[in-house]
Amino acid sequence: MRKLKLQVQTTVDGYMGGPNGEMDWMTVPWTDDMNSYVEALMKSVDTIVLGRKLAEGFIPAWESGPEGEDQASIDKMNQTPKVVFSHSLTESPWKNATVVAGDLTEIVNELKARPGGDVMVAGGGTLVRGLIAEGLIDELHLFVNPAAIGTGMPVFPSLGANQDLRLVGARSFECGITALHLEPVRS
Amino acid sequence: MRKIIESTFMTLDGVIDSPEQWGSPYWDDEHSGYAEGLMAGVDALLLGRVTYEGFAAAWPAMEESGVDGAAAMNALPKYVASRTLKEATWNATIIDGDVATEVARLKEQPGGDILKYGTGELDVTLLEHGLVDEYHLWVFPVFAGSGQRIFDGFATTHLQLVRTTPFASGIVVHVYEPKR
Repeated sequence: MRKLKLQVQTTVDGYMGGPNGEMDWMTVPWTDDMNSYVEALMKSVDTIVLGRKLAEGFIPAWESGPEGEDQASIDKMNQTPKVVFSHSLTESPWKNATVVAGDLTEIVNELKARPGGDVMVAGGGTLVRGLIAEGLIDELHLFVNPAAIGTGMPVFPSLGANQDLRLVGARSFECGITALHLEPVRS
Repeated sequence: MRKIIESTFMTLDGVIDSPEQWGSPYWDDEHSGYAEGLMAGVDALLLGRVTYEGFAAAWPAMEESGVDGAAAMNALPKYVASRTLKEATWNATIIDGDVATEVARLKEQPGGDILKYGTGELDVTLLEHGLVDEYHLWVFPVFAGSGQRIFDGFATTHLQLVRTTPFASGIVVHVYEPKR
């Protein structure tokens, strides 16, 4: 079955964005060791899911062919079909994207049951916390940037109890970012 | 010059309180080996008042029950930053003046490195004055969802990654220096 992989940039203190989604703490540019790691992660991915708020920035940003990104990454991001979770949109204003609403578990399980490669979750906060809370993510790839911001948008939901994960691997890159690869502990 | 080395246990989501509730499944030989390595070059501890009170209440009893390293911990000189504490036990000296000045003075004195446990109010002051030389953040493979968070109240702070050390248990120690 297809895997649902979370791939998210975080701060040392576990935030994926500032209180208003600020991303000014991110380390750029990435060094080649990290570029190759991310490229390898993306290889099996043929669908990207994201929340509506993030999609509004993410999709146009990649369509404009951002500076500092190589053409292969830009093409990969633009050509990969996207699924956007939204309660407010009825149809997609973007190319190559479909809009979905409804029960998170049902939608994700239906997506996973289809034939195809892996599905990458790009964010944002509401969707990520919802997916983690429902135990729907198969692989968590946290890219811990060397910065602390004190407060912001947490990656992890509050479930009223501590939740253990299994560390699969950890790798540091020359640019100072550390990738933590984790999996849920499923009984 | 003596270094100040901070060592803190935290969850993936930056929670630092009640480590006994989420940390204990991961306390193994690799864990105690790293902790002992940190202690090896150190001849004093620096603590905030809250951490001091917790430690001073717990460690003497741990020595009595024969916990490894407890005797060494109890014997170390300690410095406690507090505006309210009038007297201290557990081989501790109270820093009641300007913390940044006093800590900078401590670092100038001859001696080994100084280990700091716990994070809180004191860290904001130390960071603002660039007084901590190394942060050893032990990231446990667990999320808490709520609780007191490391770096709470900090403005955006960029750090320099020195190295990471993953343990078989799933803990990854991230070592950072202040970005200079």
